[in-house]
Amino acid sequence: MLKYIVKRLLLSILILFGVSLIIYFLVRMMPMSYLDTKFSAQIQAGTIKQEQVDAFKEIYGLADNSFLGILKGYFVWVGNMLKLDLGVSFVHSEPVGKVIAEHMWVSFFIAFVATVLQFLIAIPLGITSATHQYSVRDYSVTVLTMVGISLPSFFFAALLIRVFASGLGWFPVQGLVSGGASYSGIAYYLDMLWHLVLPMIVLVVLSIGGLMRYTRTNMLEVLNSDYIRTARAKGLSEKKTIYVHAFRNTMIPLATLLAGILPSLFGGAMITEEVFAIKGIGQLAYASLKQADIPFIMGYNMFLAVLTVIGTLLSDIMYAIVDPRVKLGK
Amino acid sequence: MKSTEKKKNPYLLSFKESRAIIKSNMKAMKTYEKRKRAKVLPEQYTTVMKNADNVLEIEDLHTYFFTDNGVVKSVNGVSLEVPRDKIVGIVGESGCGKSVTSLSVMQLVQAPQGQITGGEIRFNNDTLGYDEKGNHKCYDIVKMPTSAMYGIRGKDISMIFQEPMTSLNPVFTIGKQLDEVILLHGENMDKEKAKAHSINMLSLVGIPMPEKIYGYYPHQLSGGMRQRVMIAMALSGSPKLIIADEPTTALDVTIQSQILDLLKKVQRQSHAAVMLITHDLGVVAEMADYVVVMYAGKIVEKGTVFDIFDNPLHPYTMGIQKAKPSFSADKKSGHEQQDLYSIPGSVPNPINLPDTCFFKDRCDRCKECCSGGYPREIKVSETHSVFCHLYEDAE
Repeated sequence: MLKYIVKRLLLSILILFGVSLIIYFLVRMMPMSYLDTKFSAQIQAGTIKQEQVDAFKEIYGLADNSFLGILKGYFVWVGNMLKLDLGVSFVHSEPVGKVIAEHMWVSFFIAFVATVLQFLIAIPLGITSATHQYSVRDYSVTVLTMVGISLPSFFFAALLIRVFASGLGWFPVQGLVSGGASYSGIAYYLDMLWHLVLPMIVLVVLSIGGLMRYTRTNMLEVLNSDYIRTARAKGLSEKKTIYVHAFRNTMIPLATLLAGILPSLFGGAMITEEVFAIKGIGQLAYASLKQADIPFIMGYNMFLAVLTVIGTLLSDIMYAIVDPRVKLGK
Repeated sequence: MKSTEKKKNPYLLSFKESRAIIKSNMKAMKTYEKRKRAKVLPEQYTTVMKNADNVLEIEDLHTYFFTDNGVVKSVNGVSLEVPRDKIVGIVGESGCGKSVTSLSVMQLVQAPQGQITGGEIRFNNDTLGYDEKGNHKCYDIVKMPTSAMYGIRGKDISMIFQEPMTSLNPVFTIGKQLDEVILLHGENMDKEKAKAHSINMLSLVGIPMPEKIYGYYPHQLSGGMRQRVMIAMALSGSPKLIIADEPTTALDVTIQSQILDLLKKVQRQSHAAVMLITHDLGVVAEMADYVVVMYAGKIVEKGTVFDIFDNPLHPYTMGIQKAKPSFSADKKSGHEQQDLYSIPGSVPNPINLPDTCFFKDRCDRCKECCSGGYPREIKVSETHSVFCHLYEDAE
């Protein structure tokens, strides 16, 4: 097992290099430049000359956009990264690592609560709708969760804001803390939680559908299997059959979902954060994409890549834990 | 060409028809499901045995499947008896309703589509005593609510399934799955006692090193071993009736005979009655005391094993006996291989069963009278009866 984990970790270093190379090239090939955007007004007004912008580009390392130039830029970036230096964000003028660490936790908190709620709601829903297949309950659960999955997040978020924030006034329209108020201690966190209710609802409603369908399908497959018939033939009650014999088997494929959960926990919800004007990591990433903040985009994407690699490894280990048939080999 | 285009394809349902089918199915499934969940007093599902020497009496059993294409009459008026301490073989081709008959006895038909719609399944577990007239009281499984079935499944009636490879839960150890039965049905059992009992059962079915196997997961055992575990599980609650639903079909030939020998041995030891479902006539001839031949959801012939094999009367029984592969190569003509005999034609559509004998279109001895109505049961001897118009004068 240990040998397997070490091997996987070594392999993931290789994967991360590949990922970073691809991301770097893609980012550099964006038809947008931080400096051009920044100085476009001044150039038009004539207060700054194109030569000066080009000089700046030289300093930022963005001057040479040929293949070799980008490759050179990549090696500079990799060299710095190996020294654990992700560079300085153009927009924030602060080290990328620091910016990520600062804004990560809000996003993590939203995503964590949303994920826990999502599992707590979607799995029981999936099970009841599988055990009552084709009943009114099944159809209504399916329709409602499908509605949830089909709603675009910006639309649903706007709807919630219209009804609950500007309409009923139960929740704040946006932001993370009440403007003007200076809370401290528990009151501060309660205020923050109050601001995060709507974004969390958006994330939960949007993600329940997928997980619920997944649980339902798995449960149906397990319930039609021979060993469930054996369990019934033993004289086990329907409840015990479902929650002892079928439940664990249903959960096995769900272990794969772990791979995707880790990056989504820390990666932030770009659109939802944008709509609610929450300064989480998702919103920062969106803003940096718009402004071609190359160090930040690189840092953010590598952060996600590392989380994805770890998530995949975790889900493989989980597989071996929940399913006795799976043995992690050499 | 126009007329053929307008002609309705009998295999296609119009929207209206299919809506009507789904509607009536929903209604039927709802009523039957409700009945299974209703609170019923034990008096309402007790009845009396016709013959106290039988463990199981099935009378005019109907089990239907409500599919989107129409109602499939899988078991369509089956009556049979399983006497104490005897092995009754049920044979027939795939889809003739033999498995569904056995699952009906356990109330394990795939619900909600599959439902027992009529008849009686009288099961005698010897605990109910006698009524005032001196008749042996018993349960009627058809009327039993599912909650009452939990006490019978695994304890009084147990089942061995066709697919040992998939019939054990892959995420639990053999031991846990075996213990479950006795913990559920045994009186004042604890984990220690259950473990001892399970290990005892494992050694009874001839599993070497039962203590070790007890902690194994199903995937660590071979198919034959798993079927032995299934048999151990079936015996664990010391049942009065064991239903073996094609217990050897998924095993290879050498293991088949071992499992059959084992089944026969444990049957003799436990004195449980066995309902053996198979399509292998050799197995039936070897094992069974009584044989029931089924075709398209109905019984066509039943009798003792000697009646059926020495004196088959129904053309279908004769047909399946002829369809066995034969190795008695004719010596004069060298080792020439004979073509395997097969009964011509195919089974009628189970949704639209004809009003005549179901075997009529495939029968080589079909007469004029075969067109009128399904034949009634004709008792040829004390034990032997056949459903065929050919023997109407023989009575």
